[in-house]
Amino acid sequence: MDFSDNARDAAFRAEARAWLDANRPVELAPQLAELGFAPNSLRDADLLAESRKWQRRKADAGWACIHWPGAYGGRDASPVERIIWKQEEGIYANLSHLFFIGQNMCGPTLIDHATEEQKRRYLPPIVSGDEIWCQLFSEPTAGSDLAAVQTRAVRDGDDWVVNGQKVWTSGAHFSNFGLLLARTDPTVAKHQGLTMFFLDMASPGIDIRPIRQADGGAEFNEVFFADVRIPDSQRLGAPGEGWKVALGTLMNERLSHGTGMPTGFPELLDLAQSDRAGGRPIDDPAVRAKLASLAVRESGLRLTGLRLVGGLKRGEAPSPASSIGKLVAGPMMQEVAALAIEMQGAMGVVSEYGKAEAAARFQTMLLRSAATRIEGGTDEILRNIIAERVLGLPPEPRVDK
Amino acid sequence: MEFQLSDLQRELVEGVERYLRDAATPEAARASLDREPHGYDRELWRGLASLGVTGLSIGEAYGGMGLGDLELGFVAECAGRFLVRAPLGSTIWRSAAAIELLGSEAQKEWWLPKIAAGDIAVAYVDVAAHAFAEPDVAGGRLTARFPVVADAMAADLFVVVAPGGAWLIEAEDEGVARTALETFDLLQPSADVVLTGATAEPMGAAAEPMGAAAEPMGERDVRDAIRFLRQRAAVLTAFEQVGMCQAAIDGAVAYAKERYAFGRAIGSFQAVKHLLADMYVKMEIARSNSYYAGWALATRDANLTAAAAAAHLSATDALRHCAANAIQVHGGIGFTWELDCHLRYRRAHHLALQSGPARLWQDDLIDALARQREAA
Repeated sequence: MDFSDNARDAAFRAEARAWLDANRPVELAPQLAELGFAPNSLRDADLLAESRKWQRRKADAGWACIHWPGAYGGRDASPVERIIWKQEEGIYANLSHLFFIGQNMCGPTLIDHATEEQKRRYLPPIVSGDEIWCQLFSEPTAGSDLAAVQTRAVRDGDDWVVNGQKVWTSGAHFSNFGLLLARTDPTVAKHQGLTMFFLDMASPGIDIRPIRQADGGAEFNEVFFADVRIPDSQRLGAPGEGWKVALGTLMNERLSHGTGMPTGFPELLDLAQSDRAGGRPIDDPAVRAKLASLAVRESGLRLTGLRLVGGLKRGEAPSPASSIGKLVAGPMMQEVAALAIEMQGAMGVVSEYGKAEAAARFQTMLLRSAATRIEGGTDEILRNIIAERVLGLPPEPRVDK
Repeated sequence: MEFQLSDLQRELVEGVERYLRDAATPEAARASLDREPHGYDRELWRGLASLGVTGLSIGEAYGGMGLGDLELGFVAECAGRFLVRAPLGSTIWRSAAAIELLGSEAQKEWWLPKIAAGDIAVAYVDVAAHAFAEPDVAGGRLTARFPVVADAMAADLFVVVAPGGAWLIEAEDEGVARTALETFDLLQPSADVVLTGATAEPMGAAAEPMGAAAEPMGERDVRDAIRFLRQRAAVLTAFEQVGMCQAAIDGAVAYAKERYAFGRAIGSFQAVKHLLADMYVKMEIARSNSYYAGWALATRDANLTAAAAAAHLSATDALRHCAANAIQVHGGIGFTWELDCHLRYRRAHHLALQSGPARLWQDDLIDALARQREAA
């Protein structure tokens, strides 16, 4: 157990830092520092264009998707090196948000299930940011009960023909490719009748409609499929094996959350130290007790991420224990935002950029964090995963299995 | 960076675990409780000594193994998983280190080998942490009242640290009067201690320097040392608390798998699953904070103040939560004397108080984090 850099770690950190010092887009720093909790747009620049620029610069120098195999554009970095890179990249990691699903979910699924030729074709553009991926999993009647998906894929010669609807597809409107979970056999038990595919989002028959969210944003979409054709060569895993493939995808997602969701605590601490009408909030014993309770979760979360990621061997599959990350971070963000807004007093209700305090980040966080507790596995599903897959408790008797 | 236990650490813990599995059974704890409600299991204490646990972090020059505080932490976590009715907290997490840090050479040479050998138990009084009245000192004699001191009835020696000094007092001294107290922690009893002109050997600032190299410690150094000792004890206790969380969860999970209601194992109900998942999450958060604090303690890292406070606060919270909900998972049977659930529930709330009030740790944590944030 050693939380400090050994000589090899220090050398890697120095190398990463030197490259970052010479290459990071410092002109974006003020805007990126403001983002933090919900990086969906930049104040004075095009987030997608800037993200692509930064991603390309990293990829050209071998600093993108560093834990991926070198053959596919990665760096063969160890789990510890991945942690160090993330620490050093700091706020510039906000420019990776649009690539999150491709790099953390679709990419690892391709690495596990695609042919060698496909990996060489599709992985490098994910690394460079040239191609963006989305994940077509949830449906109107299949959210937590993901295996209930009804979107049908029917074999027709060398193709599959897809009909149905997906929902909550982040970034579908700017994605080049999608990972699709579809039902290929409705006659067998639901977990057995699923198959995973990937497809070109420009395929004829796809209709993408944005969803207006409760926080006013529109990151998510509904995606409709009408006779969309997918070549059988774009099937990932055997027909009927889609559920197993999907679980791998989701476990990779949970691990990537586990390595560090920003909780807003450092910024809350800044706010608590500011001079206000009633004095500094941090001097109020009631506030201190709440801050302390949040502080131990913030450090515990960060250190648990280190243990979960850093404790992996190179290439090892993530543990179901990585569900802890989002399960703790989600409710915590709501608590942090609520406490911050309370500190701001009557002005706490103002969410208008330029008028709200702290770049409206706590107001944004308050609204957006309600979704954090649902997307990528609800709090309740994550508790089931911990109970069944970590603690070994029996599954609930099911009528659908 | 390395997030696994080293081979040495793992072997050490496995050795202690093997011993405790046989020696620290629930039956042994209950037999000791019946035999000596205000004492401890002496056979277990000697067993721990022969394994090297009592001398683990004591220097080799004084009969110990000279291992680090992180190793001691992993042993504390292991001990927490069993019902150890022995004065580890007062003698090993606290007093031994106090003597090693504050004592004169002669005091170290006399007392530390006895602790390492498991021959004595030492009670520890941190006057400021518990807001006890400052002792009166006159002519090498101490007069004071410490209304509640853990392991005091069976102690052979008292280590008293206060803003005004640090002393060693032998329990046999005629100025020492002890009254056993009924307390809810049955694993670690406490007593009311009254000192009336008890012979007190000063440590630290007031100790005579032994040899040319040893300078007497300044008052400031003594205060820093007491603060460090308090942090060290809190960190080691946090490891113990994490071990107790693990035992509470293991017991509750095993029960939830075998107990049937409504025609199915109760562990298959989401209401029970979610209770257990939340216990697990709190334990892991506490474990991560504790491991980091253990590392910060062993390396004397600059973050020790914040790390120790975070470990103490999160492990205290986790254990109170796990101990209470372990009873809940067991249902009615969990509230019987025969089951061990209540022993952990009781001890959880004793350990929460043993390192001083939560407010002091919250202040330490927030002040340290605010300083860090300002510096950054």
